[in-house]
Amino acid sequence: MNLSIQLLTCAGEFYEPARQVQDFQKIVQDLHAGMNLLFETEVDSIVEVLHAFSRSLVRDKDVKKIEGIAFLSNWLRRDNLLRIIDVNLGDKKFLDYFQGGDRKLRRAFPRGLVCHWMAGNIPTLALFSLFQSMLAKNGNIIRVPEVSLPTVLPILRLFNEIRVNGVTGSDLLKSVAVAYFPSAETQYNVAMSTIADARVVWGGKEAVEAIIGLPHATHCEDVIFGPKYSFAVIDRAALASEKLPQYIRNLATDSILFEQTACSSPHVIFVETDWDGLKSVGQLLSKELSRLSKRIPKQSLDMGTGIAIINRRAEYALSEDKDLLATPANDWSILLDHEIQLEEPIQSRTIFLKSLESVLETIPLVTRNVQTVGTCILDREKAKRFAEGVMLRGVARCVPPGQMHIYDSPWDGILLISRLVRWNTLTLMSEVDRESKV
Amino acid sequence: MGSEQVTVESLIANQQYDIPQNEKEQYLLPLLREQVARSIERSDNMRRFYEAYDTSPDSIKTIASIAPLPVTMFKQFRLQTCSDEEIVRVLNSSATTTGIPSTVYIDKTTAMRQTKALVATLKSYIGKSRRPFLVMDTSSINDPAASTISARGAAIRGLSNFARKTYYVMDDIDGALVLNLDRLKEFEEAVSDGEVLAFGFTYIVWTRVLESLKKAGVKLNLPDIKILHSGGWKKLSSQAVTKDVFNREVAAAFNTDPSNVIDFYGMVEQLGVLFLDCPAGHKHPPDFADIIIRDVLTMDEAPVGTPGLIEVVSILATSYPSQAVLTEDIGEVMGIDDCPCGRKGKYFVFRSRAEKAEIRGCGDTFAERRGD
Repeated sequence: MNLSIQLLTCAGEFYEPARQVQDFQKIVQDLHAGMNLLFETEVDSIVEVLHAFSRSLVRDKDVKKIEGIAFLSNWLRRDNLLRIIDVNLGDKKFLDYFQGGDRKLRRAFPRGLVCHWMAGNIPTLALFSLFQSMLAKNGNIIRVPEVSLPTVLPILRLFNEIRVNGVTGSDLLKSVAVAYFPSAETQYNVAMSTIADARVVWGGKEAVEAIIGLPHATHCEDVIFGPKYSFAVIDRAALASEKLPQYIRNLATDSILFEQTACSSPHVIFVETDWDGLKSVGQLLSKELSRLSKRIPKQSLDMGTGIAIINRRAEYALSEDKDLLATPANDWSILLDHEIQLEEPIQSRTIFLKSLESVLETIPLVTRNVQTVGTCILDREKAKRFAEGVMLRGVARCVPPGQMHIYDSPWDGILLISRLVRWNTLTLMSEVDRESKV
Repeated sequence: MGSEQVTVESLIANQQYDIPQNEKEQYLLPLLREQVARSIERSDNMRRFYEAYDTSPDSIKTIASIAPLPVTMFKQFRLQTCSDEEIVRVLNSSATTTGIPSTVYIDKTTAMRQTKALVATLKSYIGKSRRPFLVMDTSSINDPAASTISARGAAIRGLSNFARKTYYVMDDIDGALVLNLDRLKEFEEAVSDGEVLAFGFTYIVWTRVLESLKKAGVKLNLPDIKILHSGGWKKLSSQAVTKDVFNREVAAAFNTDPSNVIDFYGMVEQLGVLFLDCPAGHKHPPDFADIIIRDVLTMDEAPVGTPGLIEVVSILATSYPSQAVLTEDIGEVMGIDDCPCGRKGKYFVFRSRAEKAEIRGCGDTFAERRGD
């Protein structure tokens, strides 16, 4: 077993096979010049390179096949990036110049070296993390899971070829290193943690706790995108709407994408209706899941999840006050009941469908672990009341069905670019202070 | 055997393992349809189950088309297909990982069939005569007054049908099982020659019995012993103890041939159905039972040589739905009708207990944790 750090790219160089290194100090040294160059590059130039890159992503015949590329491409467009910077910082000029009044000025400086630990369930996740940090002009070391390497490297190689007005993707990658090492190699996690000026951690409970407990610099800023749970609600007005089939289609898509392993994947759908109404919604949902499953067949199923699906299905089939809609294979399952509670996720296209009197009854169920609620509530005031209730208890996003996985800023209640800058102030000497006294 | 003459009792009474698979399935199918019909008629739970899975007696064309009932459902539901008055025994399995026992309802017919079935199966492997029975466990494991029965207890109780006299050679000392060498020696002297039957839980035999014999420098001389053992391979696999190594070392300790050390697979939820290792190392379903190996994604029967979830099919029970019980164990059908041991029908191997599911990716429970 290879116990070195496998360096895939560093300071603009790509290594195939991976370069073996034993510590991070050399990597930090290699990135130093690139970080200085990045700091001197105007944010508009960085945005233009990313915008040009967004177009090439969907043109490259190999890269465009990667799951999530179309969304990444849209996200990297100029208008979206400028909007994100605006939401995070108020004014993009803060990244390049001191701004403010006559004497008291502010500027957003990079934190320095940002170390990212990525989860493997969303192939393109590393790029969202990297490019936001890059816009804040930070150097970046990214530890990707082995499963993400076939996604991340081709995308970065393509980025390396972009050139806009004298600024190249290659220039920007001089401040970036992508590495892999087994997660059990604590020594490398510790080393990466101690050199970080900021740590961005994405993952499940075990992964997150393993990293945040590591030694780190006192000034190090932690940004944690930890494990989360999501659900959806449909109110009576939406149920009566002629657009209901569209809402159900969108929720079906939200449920199937990423095989329900994303933090934004809904596991339960609550519907303001009675038992007969619920069964009708179940039939609509089953049609959509069948259609989607033909387009996106389930590729595999691990034994443990398979058994969990089999057991829950049987429980619902045997029970007096529950019902089951499912394929003969362990493809998708809809488990119907009227218990107002959240259910432990089974994932892999397993959806609990529950009837209730009012969607507001779900508010007390929310904990800090709940991230997104797919909110199918037509009345705006009711939607705001619902959102206020669930958000006070921990929910970060209420979005219409079909948008549960749309990565946006803020995410998990966090404005990432804002967290990866230091707001520094400059107070200039006054006229009086500057007059020389003879 | 004409199919019109075939009953559950006639299949049990047969000399086992002589019927080719195709023929066996023709005999089992009508009996399984009857069981499904009985389940639908006598149990609201099972009626709903079969409705949800679109299974009716008329729709059953093959054994694999019967929707299998997951074994854990015996922990959650009262799955009874007889009246309360007909129940003669309630088996509560001792709960293992979940802490919740299975509950299995036994009527007189089921109890008699299970006992006869066990005898019919074991006759094929160890002969029919009664003999001294050495139990490498404590006597409390088979307390008839106990309200629960473990897999070990069920095995001992079943094997007792072949016992002339039963000898328990282990003691429970402060919660640990300890081999009582004196009683073991007494047993050896009492039997001196002739056929002997022994049973122990696999892990207990390896860690408590063999270790104690080695430490004490004791070597037994029981060449005509048949040592049946079950369960506990996971811990031994983690110690890199293979079946070959286990059989050789246990055989050496008892001075018998490794072919006399016989692993078997069974469960409390399907009493009466035991799968013993044949001399070729394969397990064979008897004539009144069958095995389906299911692909976990498609739920179809997996092809020969492909691992999947073990489903145990049994026609024995009238008091609970034994017709198709899906376990959480992984196995593989190795062949049909052509095992080198000469037994007909499917033959399979047990691979392992399936690992529990873990939440993948960034998904989490909804429960908030504080101070964990």
